[in-house]
Amino acid sequence: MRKLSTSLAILLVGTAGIAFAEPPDTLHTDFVRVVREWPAGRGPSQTVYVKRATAELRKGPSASDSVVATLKQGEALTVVAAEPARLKVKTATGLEGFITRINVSDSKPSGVSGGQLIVASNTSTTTGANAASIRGLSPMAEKYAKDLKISEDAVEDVKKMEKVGDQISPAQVASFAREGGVVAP
Amino acid sequence: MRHSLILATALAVLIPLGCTTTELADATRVGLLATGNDSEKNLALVNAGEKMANAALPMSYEDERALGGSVAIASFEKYGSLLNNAEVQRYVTLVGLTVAAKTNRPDVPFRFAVVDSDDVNAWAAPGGYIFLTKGALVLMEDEAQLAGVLGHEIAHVCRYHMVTMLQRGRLLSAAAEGASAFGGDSARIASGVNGGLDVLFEKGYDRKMEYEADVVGMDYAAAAGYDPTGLRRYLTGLEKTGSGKGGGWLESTHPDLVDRVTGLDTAYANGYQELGGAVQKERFAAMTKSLR
Repeated sequence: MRKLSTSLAILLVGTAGIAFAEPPDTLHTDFVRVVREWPAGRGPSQTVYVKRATAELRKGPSASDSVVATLKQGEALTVVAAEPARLKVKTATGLEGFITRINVSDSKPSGVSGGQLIVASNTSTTTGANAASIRGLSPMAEKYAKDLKISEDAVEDVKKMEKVGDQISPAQVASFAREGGVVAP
Repeated sequence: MRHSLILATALAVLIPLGCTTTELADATRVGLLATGNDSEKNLALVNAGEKMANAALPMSYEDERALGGSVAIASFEKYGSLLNNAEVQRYVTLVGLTVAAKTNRPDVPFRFAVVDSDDVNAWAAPGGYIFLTKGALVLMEDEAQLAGVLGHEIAHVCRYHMVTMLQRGRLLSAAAEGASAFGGDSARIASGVNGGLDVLFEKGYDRKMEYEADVVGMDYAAAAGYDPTGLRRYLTGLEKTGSGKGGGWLESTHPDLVDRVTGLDTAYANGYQELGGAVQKERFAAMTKSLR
């Protein structure tokens, strides 16, 4: 086990150099990308893209600095200066501010929605409704429970679980986070 | 020893064999960046990669949700009922939704449940159903730990881990163009559900999926504004209490804790450690007081 940890560490350290081996598999994909996006010596003037649904552009390099704008996924930003955890960037409309590195990507996100499930390249395709339009326990799941004679209590529990989330609005989530000092960096 | 062998083999074979199209698109981006091509060219190539990825959608969200809903029903039947505590259910859901907003699938309606069981466990079903036992919740010390554990489970959904496992095991039917993979046939869903329960409570995910869920889960929690060390602190706390009973996170269904912590620490050192983030010990203690 120690052997694995050591190998893993060497591999990961190796990614910081100019030439590095491909990781052993796709684990730590995000981490590897973070390292590779910012190899030593890569400077400003690079274009990066917002990778979250929304991310804050702040006046200064701290989560407590005021929000200049809330940026949307895919928005292109020009890097003006780079710090360990944050970048000073300029938006297409000329706004300047700071954004956390973990909120950007080197390439424009695909905008793949939850409704587009991508699993393997050699299987056939079905297109479905967007995830945002699908709520509640699937009728197919209810049929499954009925056909397999699974207790109605279990079905009811899933319905209750759905209801808890249904009754919470995005505004309530935001307010819950704010009250708890949970501030997106 | 087994891990070292796997590592060596994987090094020789490298990523592309058998990886998903999403991963291919990611790998393409990484490769492009390393070559330093101009951004316009990069973008064109990335878009080409994503077009390829979008041309291969084997399961609609509707099917994913049907499978997940069925696994959710079976989970309650197998593992215990929904904890009868509206305040706790709402609180866990609020933390979960805060984290879920920062994923690559923000339009998925994630739903959260605390299961009335003293076992220490957490799991996820496709489509966005996340479960946490009461036993796991009472072992946590703060909201950042809860956010980290929920982030890990959310990551399993966002990275399609269970669907991938079921497809590998040929337990999911391939869908015809525009059709449902299940076609309203309970027997076809049951094959997926049984395979899913086997993954969750017997065999476990692929080890690399667990490592990935750790790092991606930490990323989601950190992006939401939580202390990124939450998951790590929960894991190391579990080790101290030795509470991995009942198919829990320290049992055979999950990889060795030392390796998981190593993976988290390495990722943490690259862009997360400077972020800080909320720990929220007080609110967590107040909201879970009724369970202690």
